[in-house]
Amino acid sequence: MAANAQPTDAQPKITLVSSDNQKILVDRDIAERSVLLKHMIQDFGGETPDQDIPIHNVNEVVLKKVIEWCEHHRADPPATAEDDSDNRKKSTDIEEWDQKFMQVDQEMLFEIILAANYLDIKPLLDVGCKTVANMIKGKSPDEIRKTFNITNDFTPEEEDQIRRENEWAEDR
Amino acid sequence: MGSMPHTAFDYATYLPDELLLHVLDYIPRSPESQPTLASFCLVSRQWYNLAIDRLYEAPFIAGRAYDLLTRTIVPSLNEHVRKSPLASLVRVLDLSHIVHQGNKSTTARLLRRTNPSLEIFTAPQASFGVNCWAALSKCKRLRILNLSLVIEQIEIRSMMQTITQLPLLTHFYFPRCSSHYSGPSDLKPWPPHLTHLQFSGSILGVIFDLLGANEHVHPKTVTSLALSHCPGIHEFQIAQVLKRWPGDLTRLDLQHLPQIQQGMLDNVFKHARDIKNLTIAVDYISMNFGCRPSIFDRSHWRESKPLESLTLVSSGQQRWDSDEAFTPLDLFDLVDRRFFGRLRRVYVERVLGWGRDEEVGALEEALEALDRENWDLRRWHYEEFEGKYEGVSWEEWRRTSRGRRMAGGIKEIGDEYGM
Repeated sequence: MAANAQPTDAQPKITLVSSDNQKILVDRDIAERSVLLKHMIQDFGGETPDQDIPIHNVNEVVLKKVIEWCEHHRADPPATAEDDSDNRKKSTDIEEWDQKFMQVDQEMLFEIILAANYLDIKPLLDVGCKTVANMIKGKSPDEIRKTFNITNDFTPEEEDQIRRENEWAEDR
Repeated sequence: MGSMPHTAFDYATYLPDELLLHVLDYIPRSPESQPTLASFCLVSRQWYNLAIDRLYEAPFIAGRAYDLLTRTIVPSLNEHVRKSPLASLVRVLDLSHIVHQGNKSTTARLLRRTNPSLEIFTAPQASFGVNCWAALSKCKRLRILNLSLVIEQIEIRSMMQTITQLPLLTHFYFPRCSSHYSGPSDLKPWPPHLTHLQFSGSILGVIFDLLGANEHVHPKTVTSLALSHCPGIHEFQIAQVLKRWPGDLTRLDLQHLPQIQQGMLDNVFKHARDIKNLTIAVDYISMNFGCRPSIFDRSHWRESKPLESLTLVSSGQQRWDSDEAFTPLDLFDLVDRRFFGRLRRVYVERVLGWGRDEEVGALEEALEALDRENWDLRRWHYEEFEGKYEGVSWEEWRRTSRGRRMAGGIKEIGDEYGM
């Protein structure tokens, strides 16, 4: 598993093009942390493609951030479907490096999650969603809206009714 | 309710439903998370729609929350809310923490409101009565019905009449209270998929009639039996029950049986030969647990007991002789000689103090050695791998998640185990 990671200079490179038309050169094994890119590369018959790969939905800043994560995790063993079902009781622990990595503003956090979803990088998607879940824990609705820039689209009457209905769940 | 707009401009302030659901998966389903889920529902319409099912699916209710939840889902207590669709989101209703609040008619109303969706119901101690039976019999999706806490006297006739109408029921727990039983005519056929029965209370008469001449009422599909809080039952009666049980029992749970003394259930495998999963109060067994023949050694491995999982709990009785007590070393011996040659999982209640016992290390090693042998020789649960994974060493196998899962081990469990 970890043995696949070769020294950086020996790696074939791939050029990704962000949605804002910036070219980014990455090692092939880094790109292949993304299941989407891995399949695209396979479509080139397993050869390292020499043409640029456009990433329509992700801009340069976010793409670089995602690549930074993939580089740090390049030697991680691939998650198996079995491991996944094992972790049904989902833990919200996040390793320290990932925690620091996720200390970004709300907009960037959502962008990373959306990019991880689009590029199909499950472990990064998980870390992103865990981060959001941890940020929600213990907060009031108003604090959650402020944290994530969400507009309250309830009428005051609706909000009142929901609050009253769910009051049983509010404290313990 | 409408969905949030998402233009390119505000894209990053919006997560699509699918991803918010993923976030919700990381909010554990525990009482502690309940306020968080309630907040989640109040954020916006999108968030409400995604989380409201989870909030109501299995509400944790104790103390003041009981009255508040009742106000929401039983409309007659609140003029403002007419008929709440929230009631039919409830799949698990656990009233075990309700002691002084509530009354029987409220319990009946809760059941009537939640009956379209209710799958698991645990009755409260004091507020379960006659008027609940009719409401219960309409809960057609009910899978687990737990009456074990009920202290009010009940009628076996009404109870059986209700249970027989629950087509999906798989688990039933008798109340531990006294019951009124007027004879075999009170009994009715069990639901077709019932697999677990827990008997409690003074119901020996009921048990023996259920196992008697009228095959119609035999609990034939039950493979998992528990006897718990049966004050009058003696060891010879337990033996009778096991001997006469109409189906193959693979799980057995014996605790809170005050007549049973140390060593009296050492021969439990004599009548329950197929038990794979046993939970037993360690006070009922002794160093002779299992009644292993003295000549039994590894060459007899084929005759090893089917037992795969053993859970040892404490009944809290003090009338036992520590010289005769069943210890980790005794279990080591049973595993080491392959009398328990299929044992994989051992759970021990913390109060028994095995965690501080040095012998537990030896037991752990014996379980590992057994797992290695069973893997290497493809015995028992590894038989299905005959001819597969050739050349894969036990060490390699143990590193896979399936290998870890199949191997088990020994684990301490909290004091809250069982009731």
